[in-house]
Amino acid sequence: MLDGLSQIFFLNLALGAILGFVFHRSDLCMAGMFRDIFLLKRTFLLRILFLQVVVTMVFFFIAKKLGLIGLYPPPNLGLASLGTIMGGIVFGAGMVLAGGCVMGTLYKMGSGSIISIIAFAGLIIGSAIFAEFYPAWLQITKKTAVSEAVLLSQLADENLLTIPVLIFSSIIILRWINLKKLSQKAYAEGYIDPWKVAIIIAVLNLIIYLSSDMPMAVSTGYAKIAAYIEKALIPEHFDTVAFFGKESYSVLHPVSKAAIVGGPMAVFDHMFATEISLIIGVVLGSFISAIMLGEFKLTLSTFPPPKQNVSALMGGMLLALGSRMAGGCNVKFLMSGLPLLSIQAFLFVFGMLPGAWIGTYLFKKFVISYDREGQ
Amino acid sequence: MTDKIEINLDTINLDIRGQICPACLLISLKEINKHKETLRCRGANLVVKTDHRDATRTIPDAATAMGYTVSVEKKKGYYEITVGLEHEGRQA
Repeated sequence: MLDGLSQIFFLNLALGAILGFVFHRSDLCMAGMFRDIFLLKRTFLLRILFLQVVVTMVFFFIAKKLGLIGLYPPPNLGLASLGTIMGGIVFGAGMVLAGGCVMGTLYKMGSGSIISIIAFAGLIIGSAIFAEFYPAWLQITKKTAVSEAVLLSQLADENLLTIPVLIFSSIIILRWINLKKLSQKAYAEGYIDPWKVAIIIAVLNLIIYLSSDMPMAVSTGYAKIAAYIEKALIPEHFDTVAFFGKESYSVLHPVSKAAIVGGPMAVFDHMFATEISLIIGVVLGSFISAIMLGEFKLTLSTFPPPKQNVSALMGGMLLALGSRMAGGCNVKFLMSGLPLLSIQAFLFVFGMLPGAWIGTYLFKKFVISYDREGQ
Repeated sequence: MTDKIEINLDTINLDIRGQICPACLLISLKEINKHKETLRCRGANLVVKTDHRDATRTIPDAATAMGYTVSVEKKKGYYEITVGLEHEGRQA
C-alpha cells in the first residue's frame, strides 16, 4: 500500500499525462493568448481562458459550499505585494521569448521541440539564479505587501462577491456561444477544441484541489529540480543557499491533522508529490499524443536558428525569475488563483499584460525583425 | 534565396520545421509581405512547411485576414500550409 504522498504523486502523474495530451492536441497556449493580443490583435484564446476561469470558479465554489475543501485559502497562495506585479512583468516577457509558459514549455518539449527543451533548461537555471537573490527579494516583498488578506473573500462576503461575478460571466459566455466565438477553424490532425480542453482542465484542477488540498501549481517544481541538480553538482554551496532549505508552506490538515509540508528543498515532500508529478506527467502525455499522430519531431536536422535558441534560454530564465519573484506562475495564479479571487493572482495578471507586450516587442526587435510592412 | 524565387514563379518554399511560435508566424508574415507582388499579381503560392501544430492555426488565421486563400495539408510528420490567391481552383 502506498503512503498518502505517493498516492498523490501517482494521481497527479496520471492527471498530468491527461493534461499534456489535451494541451498538445489543442495548443491552448497561454503565452500565445497574451502575445496575440499585441501581435495579431486576436483574443480567441483569451476567451477560452475566461471560460476556464469561470468554470473552475463554479467548481471550487460548489466544492467549498459542500464542505469538500479542507484548506481554504490553499496554502500555496500567499500575500500580494508589489513584487507580485514585478514578477508578472518579468514572467510575461519571458513566456513570449520562450515560446511558451511553464506549462506550454512542458507540452512542447514532450512533442520534441528543441526550442522548448532549451527553454526548460533556462527555467532550471533561472530558478537556481533566483535562489541566490532570494534573501534580498524576500525583504522587498515583505516591505511592499499590499494586503493582509490572501483572497478577496476574506475582505468581503464570499457569496456577494462570487455569485454576481458568476452570473455576469455566464451571460458573457452564453453570448460568445451564440456568436460562435468559442471555436475556430483548425487544420491540425486530432485537434481538440480549446473550449473542451478548458473544461477538462477545470475538472482536473478540482480533482487536484480535493485530493492534494491545493489547486494546480507547477513552477516551484522547477526550483525543486534545480535544487536536486545543485545538490548533486555543488553540495557545499547548496547547503549555504537559504532558498533551498526553506519550505513554501507548512500547515496541519484541519481534518486529518496530518502535516502538509512543501517547498523547493531537495526532498520528497508534498510539493514533489503535486508539482514534479505534473511536470513529468505533462511531458509524458504530450509525448504520447505526438507519437500517436506521427508528429514527434526531435531531430537535429531541423535545429532552430541561433537567435531563437538564445531567446528561448533567456525566456526560460525570465519565466523562472518572474514566477519566483511573484511566488507562483500563470498556472497557479490564472488557472487556480483567479477562480478563488486571489489578490496575488489579480496583481500577477496586471503585470503579465505589459510583460507580454515587452516580450513581443523584444522578440520583433531582436529575434525576428518585423514590422507591419515586413521590412 | 530571393533570386531563385524570381525564376520559379509557381511556388515560394519556406521550411520552418523545428521552429515554434511566435517565430513561425512572424517569418511567414514577413515572407508574405516580401513576396506580395508575386503572390498577388503572378498567382504564385507560398508553401510553408511546419511541424508546429499551433502554426496551422495562427498562419491561416493571419493570412486569411490579409485576403489570401489558405489550405493546409498534413505530410509525413509535418504540415504544409499553402498561401496564395488562386490555388485549389479558386478564381482570383
